[in-house]
Amino acid sequence: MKNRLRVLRAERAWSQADLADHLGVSRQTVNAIEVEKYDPSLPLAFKIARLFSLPIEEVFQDETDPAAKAAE
Amino acid sequence: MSVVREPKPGEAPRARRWKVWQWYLLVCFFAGGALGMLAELGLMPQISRSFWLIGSGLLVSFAMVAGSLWMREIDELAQRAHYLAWFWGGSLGMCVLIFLIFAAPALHESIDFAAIENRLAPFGGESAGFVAGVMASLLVMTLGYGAWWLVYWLRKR
Repeated sequence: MKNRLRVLRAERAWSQADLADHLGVSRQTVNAIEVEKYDPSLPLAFKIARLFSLPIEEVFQDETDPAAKAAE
Repeated sequence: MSVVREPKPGEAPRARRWKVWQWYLLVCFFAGGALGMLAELGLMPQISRSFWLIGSGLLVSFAMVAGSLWMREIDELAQRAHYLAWFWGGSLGMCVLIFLIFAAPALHESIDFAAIENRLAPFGGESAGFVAGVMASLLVMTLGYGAWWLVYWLRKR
């Protein structure tokens, strides 16, 4: 699962620890999501999307979705 | 801009506040060390049967409460690491144990099982064989769990 978490965080000049504190998770979890080693649970994914005031599909992109591939 | 939440007045920072499970670990660590030292020095007090039973029950009950509180506190990646380690590492350990059960008769000449039994259950008395078996199961499964958890955590962090 691809995501734009690092970009969104950088736009707000937040550190990983800042974002982790907002989300109530550890900095390691934020890092693992950013480097795409870990796909968050649905509740956490929605929380991230709400935090950045974006629809969830603008934060996370399913690489196996043909529609998303076509849009690229 | 920092968005880290400042502690409320009178609230200790999160890292400095000791949790129930941390106290439990600390107390068990020192109590275990003290018991081991007493046993090593031959000063182990005579403990009644009912005290052993009640003490063991309380120890495990508190461990379950402390473990449950701790599991609720860690975040989802940390929880996932433990779920996976429990399943894969624990199962791997169980496979090793099953192998040992069947292979033990063939390994009798090359492995000193009596020495292992003594090491794993020095206070087992008449139930030493049983206690050593339970201890070996715990040990092997915990080793599998720990190894799996470590590899997962280092890869994901």
